[in-house]
Amino acid sequence: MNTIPQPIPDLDDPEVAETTAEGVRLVASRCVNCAALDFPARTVCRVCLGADFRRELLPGDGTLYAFTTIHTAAEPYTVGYVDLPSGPRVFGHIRSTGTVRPDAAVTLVGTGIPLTFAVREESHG
Amino acid sequence: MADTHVVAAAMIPMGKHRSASYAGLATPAVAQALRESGVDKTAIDAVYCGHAFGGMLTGQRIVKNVGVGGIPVVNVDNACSGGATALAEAHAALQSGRYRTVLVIGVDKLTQFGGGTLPLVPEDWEVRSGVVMPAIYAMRAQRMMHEHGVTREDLAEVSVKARRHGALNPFAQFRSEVTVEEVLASRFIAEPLTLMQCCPTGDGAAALVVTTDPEVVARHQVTMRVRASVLHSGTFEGGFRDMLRPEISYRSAAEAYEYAGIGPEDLDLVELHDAFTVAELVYYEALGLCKKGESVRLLRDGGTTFGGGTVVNPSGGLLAKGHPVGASGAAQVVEAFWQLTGRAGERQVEGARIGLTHVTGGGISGFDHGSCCVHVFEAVGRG
Repeated sequence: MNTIPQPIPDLDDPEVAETTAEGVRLVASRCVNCAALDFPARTVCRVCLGADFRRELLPGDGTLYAFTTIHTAAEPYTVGYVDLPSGPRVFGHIRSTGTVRPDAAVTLVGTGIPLTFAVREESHG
Repeated sequence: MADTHVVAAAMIPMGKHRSASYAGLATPAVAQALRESGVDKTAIDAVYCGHAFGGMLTGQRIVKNVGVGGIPVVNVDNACSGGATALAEAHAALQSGRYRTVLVIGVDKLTQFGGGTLPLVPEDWEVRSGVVMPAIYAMRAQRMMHEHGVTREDLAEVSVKARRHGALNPFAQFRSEVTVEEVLASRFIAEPLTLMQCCPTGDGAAALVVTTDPEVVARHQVTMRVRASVLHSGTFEGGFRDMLRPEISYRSAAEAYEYAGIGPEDLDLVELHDAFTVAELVYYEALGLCKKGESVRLLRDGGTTFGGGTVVNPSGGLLAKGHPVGASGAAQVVEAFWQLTGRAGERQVEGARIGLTHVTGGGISGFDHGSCCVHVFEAVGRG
């Protein structure tokens, strides 16, 4: 049976995050065939070319690998890469509160694009 | 198959040439290279033109001005590796026996965008989220400071060296020296990188005549032969990447050394992709010029300036010479040609015999870089 490949409407912003009872979660895809995990979600598996995916929600806590404040737009803004324990590295805006350092613990706040992360409060005691 | 030789090379000075079209930029370089090649233009079998922003049929718009046409013209985009990719493709075609003598062009006009950072493709969701190339390198700089104790002054020293070399180069966009203080006092682009730590917006063009024809080669006292030509694209990684070890450059350089049968210690000069100061420090390691964590020491010890073991970016590099995207890879080869044929004037590297050129093209999410192109060249003299 011939299937007709359909174009992916990837110019529409992907659904990247949703708010759950447990907090904000990133929307990833898990390939049913080979278990490859991708964020943002895909419709063609980059490993096995499969077309079947499960939607997987990833906790938004991660480690801020690196960040920088960009001064090329009307207002400065801070961006960085966050490494999630589940595997993906995610690009987003960093809401700086006080002193932020590389390898800081951050958490996802908000569900839009660009993703926004904030420094996680240290727990004491 | 006979070796590929570069027999002629030319470029225009890089700078802001707002009144010149792509053809206006490249025609003088092409004409000079053809005149110096000892080849009649009817012997040119094909043209490879590297550019990123010239639009349709850029190569053809250029060569029609020198009466070259009818032959295959291939336009090549690989972002900042475009000009070098054009040479890599030309070399591969020559080695296959398909062509004997080829014209290679690299050209781009960044002033068409006004100013600002290199336009990236908004189809990439990270670009839509606000990433720009300086940010990628700024994060590399932050990790270098965090992991290896590199200081802001160390980064600024890369610009100081670049500008010192560029001051000797009539083809450089910047021909004045700067101090560490001036570099650090220039305005932030993406912290910690300041304006003078970023390559400038500019326009430029370079041209090469490349051949396997021994009769053509014999007309020249000194030529430059290709000992290695390596082209790679990046490999996607959705998770953790060590941004200080961009795999694409490590891989490409290692292959180039293997093909050429040399090691980094054999290089008299290198023209590498110093789009931002931190890039030079990262690429010292990737090209094997020093061990991990030793980049700053190599720079500060003078090992990569004139008199040092391997002169890095004698032309002034992208930082001082300029970085019109598609032109840069070809312009690096022009510099290597002038150095290896003893025509580099005030910035001549003494006894230069073997050189390496390296460019990368970025940025796509999940990649260290989209492309990387490395060449190794050797001077060949005849009595």
